[in-house]
Amino acid sequence: MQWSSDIAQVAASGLLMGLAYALVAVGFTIVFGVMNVVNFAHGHIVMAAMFASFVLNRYLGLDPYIAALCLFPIFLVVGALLYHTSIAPAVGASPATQMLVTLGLLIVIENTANLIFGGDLRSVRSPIGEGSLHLGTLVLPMSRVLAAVGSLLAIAALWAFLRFTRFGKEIRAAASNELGARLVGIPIQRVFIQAFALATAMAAFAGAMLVPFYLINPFIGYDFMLKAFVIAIIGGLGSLPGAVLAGLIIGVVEAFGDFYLTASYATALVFGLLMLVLLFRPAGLMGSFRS
Amino acid sequence: MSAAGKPSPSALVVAAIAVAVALAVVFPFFVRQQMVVAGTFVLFSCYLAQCWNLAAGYAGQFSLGHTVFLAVGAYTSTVLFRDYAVSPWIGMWVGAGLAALLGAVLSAVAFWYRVRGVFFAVITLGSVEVFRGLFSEFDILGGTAGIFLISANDPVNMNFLSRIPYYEIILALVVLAAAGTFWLERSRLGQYAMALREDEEAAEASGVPTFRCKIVVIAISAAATALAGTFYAQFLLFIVPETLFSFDHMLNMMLGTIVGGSGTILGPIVGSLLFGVLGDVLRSLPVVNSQEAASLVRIGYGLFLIVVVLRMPRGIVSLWERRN
Repeated sequence: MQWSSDIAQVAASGLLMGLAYALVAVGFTIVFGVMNVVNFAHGHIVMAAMFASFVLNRYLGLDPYIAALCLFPIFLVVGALLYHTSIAPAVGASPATQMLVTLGLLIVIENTANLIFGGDLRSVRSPIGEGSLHLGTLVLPMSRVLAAVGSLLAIAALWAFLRFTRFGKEIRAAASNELGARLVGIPIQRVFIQAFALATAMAAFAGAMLVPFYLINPFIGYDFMLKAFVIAIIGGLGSLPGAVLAGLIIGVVEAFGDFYLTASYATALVFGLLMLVLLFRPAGLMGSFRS
Repeated sequence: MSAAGKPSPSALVVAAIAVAVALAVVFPFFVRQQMVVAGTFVLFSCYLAQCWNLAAGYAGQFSLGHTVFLAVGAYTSTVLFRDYAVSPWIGMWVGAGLAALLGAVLSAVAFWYRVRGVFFAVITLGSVEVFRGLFSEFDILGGTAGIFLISANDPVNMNFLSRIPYYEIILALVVLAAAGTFWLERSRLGQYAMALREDEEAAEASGVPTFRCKIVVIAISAAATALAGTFYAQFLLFIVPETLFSFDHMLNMMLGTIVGGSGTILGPIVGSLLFGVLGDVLRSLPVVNSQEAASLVRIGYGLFLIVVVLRMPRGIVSLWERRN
């Protein structure tokens, strides 16, 4: 029976991680869906939030889960500033321009973190996240359970927000038909700022939920950027349910790949999957809220 | 067709280029070894930018996967030398052939399924991760530990004790790449590439074989990049997936090309020289330690990239063009 409990354990950790990955990807998918910008710096915002959590923990003694709640509004402002300074001029420009501007942001964020913190691996601990949850034969580390639950709640809240508030309707209108939205008097610039700020704050929240069980250095932003890409594209750019489904798939594929093969093969497998989806189902598994 | 658009350079420009190349050739004989190594790295990033410029600057195909071709070049010549005693001087061409084939197949599949623009960038980025994973696993490729070569005075196998021959090799590659770009600009292939870069539908409608043209340009660009891979392997005598597939190479290619001016002969050279020399000068300043200086320099690069892309999309060389 060893193998069946192995499979259950691996699947469970894959699913937990998958939800956190989905949260990493939702901001990325919103920015693409709404303003058609591919944000290469998205993963680095996650990384920046992890270091912000590290600072709040080290110097103010804040628990990372409380820090997560503080980081959300802080990164709303950060997102609005980023949009104003560098994203706004690139909206509507050629894909190459957009890529280069966000790649420029990536370089700036990564090296600023490297300048301040250096390249050493660091960790943030929380007493709330210690211990494990035992379900039958399954042993689930509490910090990972909390990250999964927090991610699910955050995505659900975002979904309800987009679905039921006036602001959410404006975002969806801008995403499905920008010109039409302009014509009915929706202030597109304001909607774009708000959407980008929201996406940045979601990324920050994801980083803050992951940091209690993640070793961080300035270079992990790249991994999150790749994860966000894979999940957003497999799920369908702009689709929240798609992001959740794709996050779960990637989490599980990676967990099984890690366990039964090696980490390198797991990576190759995940990106092989991405390439196949791009070729055969470019709109992703769930389409998107644009179409 | 061949004479369309691009005028021949004036005698003055030819003379200026000849002087610049001559100065570059004799430079390493008058400076310390440290400077020769620094110059070699600067020229290496120049050359990579020139290779990327062919695909991204001229044909408008924004690849983020050129490190795959770099790795194919490095691994092919190194494994051929280690296991079959084939000189890297020969192995580099085998690597270039394999990279051209790989580039052609990958891009043919992508373009066949109409993967374009930013999605082409993402699929090439995906290919880097796939190959990084595979290269890390195969024992014949040394796995994550990589392959070491032994330093020796063995010019037949592209192995030198002095750093000067390496400098001259990469300088020769830079000059060849510039000459190749000059030829491409004036060839039918280059004209096709630039037409499809501006407007793919319009080019297709005017009879440009866009599918074939994109694949050929990417294959050339991939082959040229693979040559740099062999050079890199022989210069460092050590290859490992970690450094070959590093996103830093990709960023350097883009920084140099875009800031200098993409789709021009001099753009990638000017941009990479600027970044390389500026970086080396700042790193040598005594006010900060080298780790901090490297970060500061790269922050500057990032900001500079954003400003240039938004305010001067045709790069630094466009300043010179405008004056004429």
